[in-house]
Amino acid sequence: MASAGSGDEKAAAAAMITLISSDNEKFEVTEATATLSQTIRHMIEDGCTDGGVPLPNVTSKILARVIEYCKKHATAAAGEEGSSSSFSDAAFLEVDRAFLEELEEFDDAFLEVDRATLFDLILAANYLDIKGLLNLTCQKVADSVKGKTPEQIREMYNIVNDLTPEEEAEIRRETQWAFE
Amino acid sequence: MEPDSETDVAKLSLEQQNTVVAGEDAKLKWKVEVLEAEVEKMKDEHLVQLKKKADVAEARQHTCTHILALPDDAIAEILLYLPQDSPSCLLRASLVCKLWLKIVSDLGFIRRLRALHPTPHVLGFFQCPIPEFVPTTASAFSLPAAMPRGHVQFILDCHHGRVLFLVFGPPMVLLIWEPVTGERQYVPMPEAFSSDFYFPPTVAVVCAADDCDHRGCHCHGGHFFLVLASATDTTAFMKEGTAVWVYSSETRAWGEPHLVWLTYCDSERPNTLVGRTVYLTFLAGHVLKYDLVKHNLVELEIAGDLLEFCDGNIIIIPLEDGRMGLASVKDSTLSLWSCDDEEYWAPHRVIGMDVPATRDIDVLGFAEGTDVIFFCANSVIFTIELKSERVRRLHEMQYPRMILPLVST
Repeated sequence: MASAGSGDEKAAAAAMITLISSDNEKFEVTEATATLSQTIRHMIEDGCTDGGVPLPNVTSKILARVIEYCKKHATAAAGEEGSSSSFSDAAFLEVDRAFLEELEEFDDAFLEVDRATLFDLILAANYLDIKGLLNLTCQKVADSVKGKTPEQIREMYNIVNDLTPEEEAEIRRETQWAFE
Repeated sequence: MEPDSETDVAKLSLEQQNTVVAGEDAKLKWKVEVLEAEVEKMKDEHLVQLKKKADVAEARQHTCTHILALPDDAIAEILLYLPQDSPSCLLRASLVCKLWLKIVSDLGFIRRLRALHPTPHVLGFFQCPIPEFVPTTASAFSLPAAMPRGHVQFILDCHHGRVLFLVFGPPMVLLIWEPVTGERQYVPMPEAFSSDFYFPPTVAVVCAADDCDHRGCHCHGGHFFLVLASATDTTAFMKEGTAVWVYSSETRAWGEPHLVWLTYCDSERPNTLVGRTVYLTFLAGHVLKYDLVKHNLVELEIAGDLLEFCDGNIIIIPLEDGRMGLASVKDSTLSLWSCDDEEYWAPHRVIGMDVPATRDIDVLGFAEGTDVIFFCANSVIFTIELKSERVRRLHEMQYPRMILPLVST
C-alpha cells in the first residue's frame, strides 16, 4: 500500500492547474505550487478547478511574480520534507542550510520592487491567502514605517490626517512617552 | 362541399386570399419580432463584450498605488509586523489616521498581536529607589519624560504594566502609574501605618484578576492588589514584628493586617510573583509569601547553608514549570535552584556565563513573563536569557541597589 500511496502523491505533484489572470492570460502551474495559496487549495479540494481558475483580482504581471515566489517556496517545502527522513545526515543538513540561505537571498531580491508592485503583491497574497508571501511583503512595509513619527509616515505614504485635533491630543496625552 | 354559384366561388377565393395575407402578415410580424430580439441580444452581447474589454483594460491598468487602498486586513497584517520591543512604533502608527487607529485598537488585532508575540519584551528597567528609567531597546523610547515627578519619591515595585511609587507628602501616599496609558491612581497608606515604622515599607503591586494574562487589553485600567509589609517598632501591634496589609482597588480599602514575628524587614530584592503568590524577600533569607487567591500569609526561610553558598546573592524566580525557584550568581556562574517543599533546595540548572569571573557580581532582578535575569558584574548591568543562555551587556552603573525591569504589555 505504501508504494501505491507514493504513486498517488507523484501523480498529485504532476497534476497541472491553469490560473487565469484578470487580463485573461493563462498560467500552467503544478498543484504543489498552486496549493501554497490556501484559496486555490480549497478550490482544488472542492473540485472547482476544471477549465482553469479565474483570478479576477490579479493581473498577469503580478500573477507571474506570485507564481515565481510559489515555485521557489514549493521546492523549499518539498526539500524540507525530503530531508527530515535523513535528519542525522550532516551532508543533508549542510545542503539544507545552503538552500535556506539561497531562499533568503531569493526573498530579498524578490522584494526589490516599486511601491505599487509591493502593494499589488500584498493584495494578491491576501486574496490568494499565501501566508509566507503576505508575511514577507507586509514585513517590508512595516520596516519602512518602523521608527518614524506619525508625520513622517503620513508624508511617506501620502496619507491625509483625518483625526480631529481633539482625538490626536487625547492619544498624545495618554501616551506622551512614545512621542518625545 | 360543392360551390353552387360563381359569386360563392369568388367569395371563397377572396376569403382564402385574405386568410393567406393575414397568415403572411403574422409570419412577417413574428419574423420582425425575432429579428428585433436578435438585434437586442446582439446589442446586449456587444455591450457585455465592451464592458469585459473595459474591465480587462482596467484590470490591466490596475495597480494599488496607495497604502489606504489595501483592504483593512492587509493593513492590519502590516501593522502586526511592527517591532514589538518598541511599543512606541504601534502607538505612532495609531496616530497616522482614523483607519489605522481603528485597526490598532481592535480587540481582534490585539489578540493576533499577542498570539504572534507570546513573550513580552524587556523595554528597560527602573533604578531604585530614586526613580530613573534606563531603556534597553534600540529604538527611541522615552518613558522617563512622562514619569511622575514633582515630589520627593521612591520607586518600590513594577508588575503587570503598573509602576508603584511612594510619594513622601505629607501625607505620604502610594502612586500607581501605568506607563502605557499614563493613568495615575493614588492610594493612601494603611491607617495604622506610621512613618516611625521601618522605612521604606516593602510593597508589591499586582493585577487582581486570577485568570489574567497581564497583556494589554485585559490588564490596563483593571483592578489591582497592593501587598504592603512593614516592621513595626511600636507596641501598637506587637514588639519587633512585621505587619502585612493588602489593598484592593475594587473595594478601595486596606484589609486587617496580618502579623508575623519577622524582624529583618530590610528588603533589597525585588518582589516576585509566582502563579498567584507574591513573594516579598527580606534580608537573611526571610521571605513572606502571600497567596492572592486564598488570601493567607506564610513565612518561610531560605536555608542558611544555601545563603552562605551564594553569599546571600539570591532572588526568587518562577521556574519554567511554574514552581517557585531561586536564582543566584557567583563568580561567572548563574545557578537556578528548585525544591518541592520550600525547605531543601536542589540545583536545578547551572549556567556558565560569558562574563569575566569576578567576586563583584550580584543578581538584581527577573523580568516577569520572560526568561530574562538581570545581574551586575564589576559595575556593569547585564541580562541573560535562560533559554538561549545569551548574555547582553546593557549599562554601566555604580553600586546598583535594586532594579525593576519593565516589560511590554
